[in-house]
Amino acid sequence: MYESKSGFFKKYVDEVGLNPNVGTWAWFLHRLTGVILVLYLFMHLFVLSSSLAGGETFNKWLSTVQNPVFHFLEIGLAAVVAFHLLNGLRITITDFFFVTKSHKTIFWIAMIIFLILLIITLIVFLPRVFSHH
Amino acid sequence: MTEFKILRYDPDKDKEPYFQTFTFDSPKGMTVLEGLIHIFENIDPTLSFRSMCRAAVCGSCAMHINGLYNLSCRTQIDKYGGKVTLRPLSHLPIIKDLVVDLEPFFENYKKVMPYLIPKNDPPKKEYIQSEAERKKIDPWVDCILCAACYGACPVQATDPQYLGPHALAKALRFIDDSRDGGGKERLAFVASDFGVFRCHTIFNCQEVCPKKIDPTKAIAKLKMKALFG
Repeated sequence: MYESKSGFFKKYVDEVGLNPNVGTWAWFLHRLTGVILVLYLFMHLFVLSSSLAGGETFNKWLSTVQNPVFHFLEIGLAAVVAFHLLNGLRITITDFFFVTKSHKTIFWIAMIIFLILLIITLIVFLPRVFSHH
Repeated sequence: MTEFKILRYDPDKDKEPYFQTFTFDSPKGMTVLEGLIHIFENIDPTLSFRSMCRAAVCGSCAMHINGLYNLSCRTQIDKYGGKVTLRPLSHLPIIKDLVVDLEPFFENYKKVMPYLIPKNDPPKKEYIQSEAERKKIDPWVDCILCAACYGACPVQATDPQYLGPHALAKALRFIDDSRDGGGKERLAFVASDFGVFRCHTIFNCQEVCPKKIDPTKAIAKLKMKALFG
């Protein structure tokens, strides 16, 4: 008998390849954005906790992240949060109201809201990327 | 000309599975299973696959056909424009070619006690079930245990202990049955670490089910029952 010996990450990618449909993509992106958010959270707490070492250290760290690169990454962060939030709501709605057959429609509605949020984010954040504080 | 790309594996010869391509003429309306039988009879008699009823009833010919787990007997070759890629069901050990070992699938199935458990005081004659009570379990009784949902569920890939959509849908079929008395016992197991809360609501089981059962809905209902009774 043959059993697949793929590693953890390979398994995840294989699942998307073998089941190319909306549900699998939504799940894969949900996981990916989830991991990104956890990593961001550590960075976020690190910068904020510098305030424990006094106002001067805090200001130094804050000014480090006030530059075009980080402002550009903030747009990505907003996109990641928006996707994770909207897909999370989609799953909650399908689970609580038993509308599992409509999950694809709900996904595309969520993606339209996602696009609107992304456009608003770009309008607000893009000028910050190109202006110096 | 039809092209069949099949994942082959012979435990006596091969270390890893590999793809082999077969080409033959297929008449209009030929199913994938008929194509496999054609290859077996005319091209390569060493090809192994499971099949029985050819009418989407027995559930033995489920496999991965061009990006979707489906019964090969109900899939027509024309649908894919003459190019068909076949893989055995995922998340199960391959015995040979398209034949997988279904033991893990049935092990999980047995765990939900898929049979009627009598109530404390059974009736003197037969159990009487009203039409409305029977209608309640209608969406879940049609399962033919083909394991398409088991192969399609990504949770199964990383956690073989997860009961699986087939077992959970069957659990609801018995929990909702007016004649069954094992509801609490079964529900306690279904709500365990390997039960409904392990589901990530990916909807693949609903997508692939050849009998149009919606195991994701069954799991959603079981989650509610586990939480609020």
